[in-house]
Amino acid sequence: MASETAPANPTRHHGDGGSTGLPGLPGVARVIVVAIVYLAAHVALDHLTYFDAIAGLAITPVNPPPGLSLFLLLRFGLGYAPLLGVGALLADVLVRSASPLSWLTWANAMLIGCGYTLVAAMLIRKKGRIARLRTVSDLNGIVVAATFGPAGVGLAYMLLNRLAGALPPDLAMEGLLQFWIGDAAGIILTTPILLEIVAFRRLPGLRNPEEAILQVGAVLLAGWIAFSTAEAEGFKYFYLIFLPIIWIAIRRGLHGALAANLAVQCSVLAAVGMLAARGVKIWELQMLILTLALTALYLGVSVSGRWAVERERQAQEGKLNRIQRVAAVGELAGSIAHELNQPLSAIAMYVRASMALLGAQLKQMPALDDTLHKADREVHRAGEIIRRLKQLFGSLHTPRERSCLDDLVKGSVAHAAGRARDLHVKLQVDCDPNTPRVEIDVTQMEMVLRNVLDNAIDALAGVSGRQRVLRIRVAGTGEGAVQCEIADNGPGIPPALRSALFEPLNSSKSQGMGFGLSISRSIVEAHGGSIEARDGESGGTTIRIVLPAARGTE
Amino acid sequence: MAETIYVIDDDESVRDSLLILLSLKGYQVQAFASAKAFLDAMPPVIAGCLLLDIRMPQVSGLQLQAELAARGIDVPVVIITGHGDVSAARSAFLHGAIDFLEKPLEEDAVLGAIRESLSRDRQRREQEASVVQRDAAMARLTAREREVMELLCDGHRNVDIAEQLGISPRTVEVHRAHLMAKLQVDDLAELIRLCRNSRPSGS
Repeated sequence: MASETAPANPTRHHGDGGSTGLPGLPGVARVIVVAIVYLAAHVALDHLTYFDAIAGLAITPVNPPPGLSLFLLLRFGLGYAPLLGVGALLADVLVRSASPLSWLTWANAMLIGCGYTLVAAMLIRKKGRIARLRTVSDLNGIVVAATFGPAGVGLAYMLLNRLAGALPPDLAMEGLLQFWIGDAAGIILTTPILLEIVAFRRLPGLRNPEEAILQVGAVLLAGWIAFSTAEAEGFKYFYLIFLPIIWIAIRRGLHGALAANLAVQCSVLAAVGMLAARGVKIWELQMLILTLALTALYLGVSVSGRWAVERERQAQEGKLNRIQRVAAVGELAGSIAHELNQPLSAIAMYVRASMALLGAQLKQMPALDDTLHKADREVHRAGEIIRRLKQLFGSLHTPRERSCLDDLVKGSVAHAAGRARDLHVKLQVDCDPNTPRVEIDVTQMEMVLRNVLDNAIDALAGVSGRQRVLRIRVAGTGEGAVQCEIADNGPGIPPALRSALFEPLNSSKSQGMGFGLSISRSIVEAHGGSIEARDGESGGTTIRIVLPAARGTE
Repeated sequence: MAETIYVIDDDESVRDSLLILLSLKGYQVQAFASAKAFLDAMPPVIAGCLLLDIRMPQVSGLQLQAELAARGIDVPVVIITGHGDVSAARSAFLHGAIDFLEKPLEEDAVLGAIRESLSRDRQRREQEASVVQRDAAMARLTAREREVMELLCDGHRNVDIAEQLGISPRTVEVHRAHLMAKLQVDDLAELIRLCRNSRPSGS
C-alpha cells in the first residue's frame, strides 16, 4: 500500500504537473510512444474488465478505458483525442470480436471517442488541465465529469445500438444503468491513480509499515464479513469496509485512498466469477464500491491538501527564520563594526596627532617615524576589514517591490492570530483603504512587523485583570509617507530598556538575544523610514513605523 | 571673525582625538558630546563648520541638521559616521551636507572636507557681508539720488531723466556722481548690476 509523506517529513520532491511526463523525447517520438502505450493499455484494461457484459457490448460493471482516455487528454492535451476512437475500435475488434467490416463497430468507436473527448474538453474548460488532484475542487471536476459524462455517452450508445438492433429492448434500461456505473467507476478509479503515478514517476515510500499491515488486515476482515454474508443477507454488512478505508485515507492521504480503492476494486474483479455464480448483481455491488471510492477520495484529497498547506507554511516559516538568523548575524557584525570604528577612528587621529606633535623632530628619529607610519597603516587595514565585513552583510537584500502595507500587515497579523487567541489578546486591525503604496523589501518588512507584533503579544502575556488589546492601524500621514502604529495595553517599556530600546543585545526576555528591534530599526532605516516607541495613550506601548510612500502614489 | 570647527560626537575618544589633531593643524576646535549640548552653547553667528556624528542618543545628527536648517542657520556640515548606510547618506546630502565620511576617519579626508567646508563658509559670509554693505550704502542715498539711480538702471539717458524729474541735466550729472561715489561703483554697467541684485526678483 502506498503512502504519502506526512508533514513530519516535509522534504519531498514533487514532480511538477506542467511537464509531459516523458522528458527527453522529441515531439514525434513522444506522440508515437504515448499512442502505443495508450492503445495497448486501453485494450489490456478492456480485456481485464470484460465480464458480465450485456449483449456482448462494451457494457461492464467496471470499465477503466474511459478513465484512461480522460487521463490521456487531461495530461497530454486534447490533440490526442483521435486515439480515443482508435482505442475503442481496437478493443471492440480484439476483445469483443466485433467485425471490423460492420458500420456499427465504427459508429460505436466514433461515438465513444467523440463523447469522451467532449467530456474532457468541458472539464478542461472548467478546471484547466488538471495535472494532479491537489484540491477538492480538482476532484469535484473529475467526479462531475465521471457522473454526467458516462450518462450522456451511455444514452447515445444505447440509442445507437437499440436502433441498430444490437441491443434487445428488455436490456436497454439495465444496460444504460450498467454503462453509466461501469464507466463512472472506471473514471473515478483510474484517472486519479494515473495522474498521481505520472506526476510522481517513482513510488513513494511506505510510512509506518506496522500500521499498514493492520490496515490491510482490517480491510480483509471487513471484506470477508461483507462478502461471506452477501449470499444470505445481500450487502447488509458492506458498510464495515468503510471503516478501514476511512482509516487509511485519513492516515495516508490521497495515495492511501487511491491504493485502497484499487485494492478493493481488484479484489471484487478477481472474485467476480464466484460472486456472479452466487447470483450477486455485479452492478449493484459496483454502486457500493463507487460510494466507497468517492468517500475515500474526498477524505484523501482533503487530508493531503491540509498536509500540503502545512508543508508550505513550514517552508515559509523556515525561510523567514533563516533570514532572521542571517539578519541577526549581520546586525551583530554591524554593531561590532560600529563599536570598533569609534576607537579605531580615535587611534588613527591620535597617531596622526603624534606625528604632527613631533613635527620636524621626527626626521631625526627614523625608527619612531617608521613605527608611527606602521601603526597608521595597520589602523587603515583594520578599517578596511570592517568595511568589507559590512559590505558582505549589506548585500543580503532581496529586491524591493511596490506593495500595499496593509496587505503585509494583515498577513503578519494572521500569523500572530494563533498566539493572540491562545493568550486571549483581542486584535483590532484598522487599515485605511486609501493608504499610499510603499516600495519595500517584502520579506524584510514582514520580519519587522512580525517582530513588533510578537513583542507586543509577549508584553500582553503578562497582563491580568483587564482585556488584553492589540491595536494595529495603517494610514497615510498625508506628507508622502505611510505609518503603521502597533499599540498594546501591556505594562509599557521597562525603564531600564527605555534609553537604548533599539540597540542590539538589549532584551527584557530571558530567551531573547535582543536583536529583534535592532534589526527592525536597521531595516526600516534602510528603507528611508523611521521606527519609534512611545508610551500609549492609555498605558502600554505604541510602536510607530513610518515609511516613505512609493513615488507617484502620495 | 575666527573660524571654529565644531565636533559633535557622543564618543569621547573620537572627540578628543579630533580636538587634538585639528588643533595641531591650526584650527580652532570646540567639541560637544550631544546635539543638545551644541545647541545650548551655540553662538548666535557661526563661522566655520560642523563635524557631525549621525547616531547619537536623543537627538541624532540628521535631526540636528534639520533643526539648524529650520532655524535658518546655514553652516557647512560634514557627517562622520560609523554606520555608512546609503539612506542616511542620501538624507544628509539632501539637507546640504558637504561630505559624508565613514569611520574609521582618515586624516586626509577629514582635512579635505574641512578645507572645502571652510571655503564654502567663507564665500557665504563674504556674500552676506557684501549684501549687508550694499544695503547700508543704499540706505545712505538721498531720495532724489535713489530716483536717479532707478531711472539710470531702467536705461534712461541723463537728458530724459532731467526732463522726467523736472531738473536740469547738470543736476542729474551731480546726483549721478554722488550716488556712484556712495555705492563705490566705477561705471554704469556695475551700477546696473548692483541695482538688479538689490531689487527683489520678479519686479
